[in-house]
Amino acid sequence: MTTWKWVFPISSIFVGFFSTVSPAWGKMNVLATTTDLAALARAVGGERVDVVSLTSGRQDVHFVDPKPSLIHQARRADALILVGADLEAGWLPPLLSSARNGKILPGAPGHVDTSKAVRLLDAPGARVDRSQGDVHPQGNPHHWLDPRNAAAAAHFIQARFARIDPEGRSYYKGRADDFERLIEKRLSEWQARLAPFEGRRVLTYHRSWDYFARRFGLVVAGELEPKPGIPPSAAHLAKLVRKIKDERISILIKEAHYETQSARFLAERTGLRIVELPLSVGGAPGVETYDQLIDVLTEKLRGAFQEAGG
Amino acid sequence: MSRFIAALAVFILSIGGMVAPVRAQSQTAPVSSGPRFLDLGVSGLFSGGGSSEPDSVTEVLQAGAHDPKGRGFTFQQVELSLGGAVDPYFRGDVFVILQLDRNGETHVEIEEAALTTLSLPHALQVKAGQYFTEFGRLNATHPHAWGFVDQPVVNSRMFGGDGLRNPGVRLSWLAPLPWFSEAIAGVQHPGGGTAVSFLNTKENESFAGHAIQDRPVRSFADMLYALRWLNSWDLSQSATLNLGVSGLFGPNATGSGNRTEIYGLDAYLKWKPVVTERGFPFVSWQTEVMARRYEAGEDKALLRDRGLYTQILWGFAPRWVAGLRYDWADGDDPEDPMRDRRRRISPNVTYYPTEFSKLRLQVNVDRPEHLNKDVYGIWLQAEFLLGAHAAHAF
Repeated sequence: MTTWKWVFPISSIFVGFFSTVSPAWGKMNVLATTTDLAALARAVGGERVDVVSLTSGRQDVHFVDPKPSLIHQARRADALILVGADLEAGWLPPLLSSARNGKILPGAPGHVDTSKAVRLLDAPGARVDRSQGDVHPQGNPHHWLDPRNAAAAAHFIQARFARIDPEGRSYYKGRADDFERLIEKRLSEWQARLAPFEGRRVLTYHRSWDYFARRFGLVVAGELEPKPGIPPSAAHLAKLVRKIKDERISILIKEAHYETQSARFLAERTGLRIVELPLSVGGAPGVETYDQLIDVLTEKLRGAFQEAGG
Repeated sequence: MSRFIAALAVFILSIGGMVAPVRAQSQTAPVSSGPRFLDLGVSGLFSGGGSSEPDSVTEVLQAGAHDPKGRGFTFQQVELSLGGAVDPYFRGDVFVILQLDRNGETHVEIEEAALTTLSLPHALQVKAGQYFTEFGRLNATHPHAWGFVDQPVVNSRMFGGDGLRNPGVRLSWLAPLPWFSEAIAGVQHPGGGTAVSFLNTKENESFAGHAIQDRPVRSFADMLYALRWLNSWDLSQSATLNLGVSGLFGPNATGSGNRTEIYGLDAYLKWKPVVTERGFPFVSWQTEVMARRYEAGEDKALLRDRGLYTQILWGFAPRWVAGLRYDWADGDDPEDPMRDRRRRISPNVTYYPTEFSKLRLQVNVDRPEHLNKDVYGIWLQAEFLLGAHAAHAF
């Protein structure tokens, strides 16, 4: 009896061990730092991958805690897809050094830095320092908001998936090609939607909409943050009031996680319209895939421009 | 000596400047547009304030080596941090502390200098070198990352002013369980002023009235052994709970064959909603309970000490954090300032202009049994962080 009572606990430890070491037999375990990249990974990886996003679509990815549960997930990943350009610099390094997983460390095929697949805007050059705020020296990291960048990232992901899982090479290639075709087809539709408003000047809260604006012919005339990452001051808002009137700016694009007080201050004085837009997949109801995200963004903006008139 | 240190600091900084010319970042992590061979950071921590008691009393009550020590200004520390991937197998981290005492003398400490493996199989990780012992939460946290101006009373009593850190090696294992579960076992050198409960070999010192002898390390039994088991659960998308248990076993210097054991329990609960504005709001609650069993003198008299601190931090608006800490410690010796019954309450408020600077105002209401009266302290602290600084663990 005394020996038998140990059988169950010991065998359950072994069962637990093997079931967690290989949770999904045969499937590649993919982690993405954002829901957008998770959506791209699903589009490319299809049935051959299990994808988990480390953050939610409503979260500010600049400010994530490297919770132990994230280390737990990173330990077993075959690939980690990141936005790069130091967007995740505040929390990804401690995660990687605690995860004991060589497959996703920088330099390994499973470390998929999508900023390497696109041309980054706003690279400030060598003379940057922190008196200019939270400037990313490699360039603006919000690159996924240009659909052509998303297609480039999908191909970058496809090539890495093929290195990790060579048997799926043609499968991944085929799906990435399909994704690119879908994006190209929808892109002309999305561009047509915003074509009547080409050249319109908009304000943004944070410098997150430069890629989107460039693709769709809008001009970002300024930000509510006086410097990236620095909350608006009264003096800066007063300057913006004059700018909005002088340059006849009608729209402010703002993410939901920023305060609304400063935006309302400007709206009351100038008639500026505040458009709250999701920055990521999962950031608004019904935005489950990448093309749904761009669809919602272009549709909401068209509506806002029409209401603003002029 | 101090001129040499200054030259060394300038030299290190200029190397860092050459290796990584551009550094700006989001949160507290390294960024560079050039090759990333060495991440270099500097943090400075200063305070000013005063106590209702003269400095001779404050120096004893504020027992942390980097605590504010008296009326007027205290230079708490400058920390140089250097780190990066050594090669595909290791990362290396070095923390050098420069401290200016109240007599104007500069002191240098190698706080940590350790190699950590990056990708051992079976979820194992080895750390070797000089490092902070992973006992509870606060001991392994660098002072500039603390939520308060000074060190908790119980930490000063168990681990001394500088915290428990010594050369050694430790193995960590992430257990294959459905939640995060890390087991750590380490062995470290038991001697010196950074192991006060163990073979503290400082000259002319005593421990609770028992003379400290020169007791060399003779065998493996004389080493300091550290065990820790940390578990973490996400209670919801916005709440995380860490529970840890730690133990230390080693010799002490008040007699041949004398042993010390320290046990600890720690809990950390953090709430932070999914949608935050620049990481705010949040609430975190952190508590550590410790007990020490110390065989003192040739007759191996058993000294029992225990204590706890519990603290809550509330990030109530972007850039603003309010804190409240309660300290309690007791060692059944009403006359000894390091073993009497002590209670302290410390409310504070911190303003963070960015992640790289802070201003903190703290009040201490202290009731040490050996003084038999309340002691009041008020401290204003300022901090800056330059360059790259390793992001903090959760």
